[in-house]
Amino acid sequence: MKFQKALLLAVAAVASASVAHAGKVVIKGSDTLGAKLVPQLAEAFKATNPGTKFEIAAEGSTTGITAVIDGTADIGMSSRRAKATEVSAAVAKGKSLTPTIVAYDGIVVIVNQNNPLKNLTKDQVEKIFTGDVTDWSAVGGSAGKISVYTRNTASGTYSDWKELAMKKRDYAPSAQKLAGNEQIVAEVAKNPNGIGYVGIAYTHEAGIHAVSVGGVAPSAETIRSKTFPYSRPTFYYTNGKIGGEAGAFEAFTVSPAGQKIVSQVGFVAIK
Amino acid sequence: MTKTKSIMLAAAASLGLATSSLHAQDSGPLIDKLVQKGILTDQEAEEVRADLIKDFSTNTSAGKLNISSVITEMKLSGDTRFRWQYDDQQSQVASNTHVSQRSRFRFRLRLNADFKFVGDWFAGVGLETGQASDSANQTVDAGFADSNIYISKWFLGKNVDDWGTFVIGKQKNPFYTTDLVWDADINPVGLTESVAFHKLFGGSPAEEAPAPAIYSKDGGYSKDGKTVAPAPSEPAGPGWGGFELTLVAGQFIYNTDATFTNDPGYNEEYPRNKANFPDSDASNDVYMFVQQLIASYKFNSKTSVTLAPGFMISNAGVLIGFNNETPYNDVLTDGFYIGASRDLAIITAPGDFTFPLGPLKGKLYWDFAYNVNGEDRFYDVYNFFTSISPEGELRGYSDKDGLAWLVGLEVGAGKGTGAWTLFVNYRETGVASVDPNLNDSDFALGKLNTRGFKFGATYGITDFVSLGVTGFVTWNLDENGFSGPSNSTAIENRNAVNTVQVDLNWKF
Repeated sequence: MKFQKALLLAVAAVASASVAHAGKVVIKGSDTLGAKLVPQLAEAFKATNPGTKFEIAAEGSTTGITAVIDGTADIGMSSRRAKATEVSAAVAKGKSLTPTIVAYDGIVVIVNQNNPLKNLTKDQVEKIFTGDVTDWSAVGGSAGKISVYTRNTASGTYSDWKELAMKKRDYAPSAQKLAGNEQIVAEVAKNPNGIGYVGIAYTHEAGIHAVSVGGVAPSAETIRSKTFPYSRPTFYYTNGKIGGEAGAFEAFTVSPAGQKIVSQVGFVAIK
Repeated sequence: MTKTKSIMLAAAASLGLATSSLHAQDSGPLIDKLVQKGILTDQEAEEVRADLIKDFSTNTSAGKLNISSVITEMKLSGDTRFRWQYDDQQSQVASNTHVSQRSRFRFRLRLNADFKFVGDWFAGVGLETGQASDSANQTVDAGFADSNIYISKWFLGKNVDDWGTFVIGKQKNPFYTTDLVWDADINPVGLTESVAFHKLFGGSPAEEAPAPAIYSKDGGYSKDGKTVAPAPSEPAGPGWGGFELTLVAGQFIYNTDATFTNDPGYNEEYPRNKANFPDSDASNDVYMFVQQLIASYKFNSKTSVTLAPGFMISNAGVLIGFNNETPYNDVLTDGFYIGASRDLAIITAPGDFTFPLGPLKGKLYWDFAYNVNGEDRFYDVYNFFTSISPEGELRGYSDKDGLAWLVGLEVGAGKGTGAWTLFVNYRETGVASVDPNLNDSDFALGKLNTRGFKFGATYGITDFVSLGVTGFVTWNLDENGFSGPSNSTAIENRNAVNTVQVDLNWKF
């Protein structure tokens, strides 16, 4: 009898471990989403679901998708689409990466608030971030060596930016890699010759201003209509359609209440 | 979801899935268009994309490859040649006896991987059978023996707009040439640069011009080295009205730790000899510098002329051996080490005239090579200061010893299944004219002081399988002239060498 009880306990322990993160929603991934938006969504969700706990780690889209594949997160935040190799890896582990668009984002070029530059062409943006152009005077600014700030390589924005703005070319060797949007904002705000890119939610911070591209200013309208050239959807990736508290949180995110928070934080709502 | 939308969504999904997963990732524009037209929502589009990528990733081999995002294109290619070869060598001085008659089955396998990167970079690697630099042939050995494979190419390159190409590493020979000077199998190591002046200064082309001479897919040769490099076959249409001018230069590492210390002292017995002894200084290397100006003019789509004057020079060195049949085997001559790359400063001038011949394509081609240091090479490398003719006379240098030339005609009927080509060329190669480590290893087995004909035919059995027959009838340029340096095997010490090759080629 003792043996049967021990066996039951062991089975129960294994079963509880296999039910993903019961009582707690584990969210990992994109810094773009995870630094501001998702924590605020979680707080709002907890207001009506007080028993729910959240664990949120924003270390880049790659970490989020990997965590879903590994089963260490319920939701993977991502500012890019899953790569074919990630989809393969998921299938190999019996997972099915399923995307849900939770907000639209524009990757916006920012410069120091004292930089008079208001507009760049797409070609100029490419040349600045690849290092073909190294002085502001070459793009209509005041003379001065351009300091380029980028996200680090784990960031979905890092690879999205290469694809959207740099024709997949390499970043300038002198570009400084920073961990998140807030760090880029902080460095550009400090450096009169700085330039970087951030999610649209971060463009109203002090010390910086956004630059139009090809005459199109980043806004909710231009991003949703995709007339702004660096527009992109952002995602939750899950293992198939999920239920439980994680599923409820996902549903909340795309609900009118959740999308209101999306807009408040500075992203563009999906509807 | 409306009925129409459902139908369109199903159509989009099924289109992507049904048109083979290979096309899954190509469906992006279609999905975007459906979103633009309001037939799909963004979320529906993402679900379709996810399904397509999943299908691509799990149901195709390509989807399982993890290729770096910096690679924009990867090409795998190769070719195989199965050859039967017979050659007959006859003694020069003695009695015209057959000193060597060989029948060999040989094969050549070449595998290439070429990569294009973002930012107009490219790279490649090549593997092939054989071990000698000038031949990838592997003789079929007894007992069904397996064969070795070697690294034949490794290079990195960068295109600058459409006018410049720069390559470093072991690469396909970028020069416009013939096998009078360069064997087609040789892939030199070093730096090469190509500048297409007609593109750099000629403005925007009226239509797409052919690739620059450097690092085109086929390099500067036909694959088997039988013919000169083809003239551009498409209308050039550059800003210079059909005229193209390209500079190609190469700085090659010919050998390391192999230069010689020059002239330790006057030698009364052999006054011409500079007594080049081996150099023990490992910091001294042998380099080769080649530069060529390729000028072509297209009269119309079928008629063009190409001239490609150039100059190649090496710093002297004790390159071990100078017998193209078995390259780089050291030879000791009369107590002196000899330098195969020594006294080589060669003016080259290949060219061709391509013209229509009824429905066929004709090409008259030529090459010319003159070693301005031929006399020094004649004496210093080949030690002809000791060469006594059968009549007991010292064999002196003459201008023809430093000169090599070739003229040939090729007639063909395109490429692919049923296509055929005939060619014949005649050449003379003076003993001090070209580097026997580099010239055609099949013509007189790569020896010097030779003349004769090379001729052949190819036929396309399919687009990827062809049959070829090549013959060589060669004999001495200067008969019975060389009895002294008999162990200088680069010199034609045969009265004649006749060879026939039958090839079955297939490429993939």
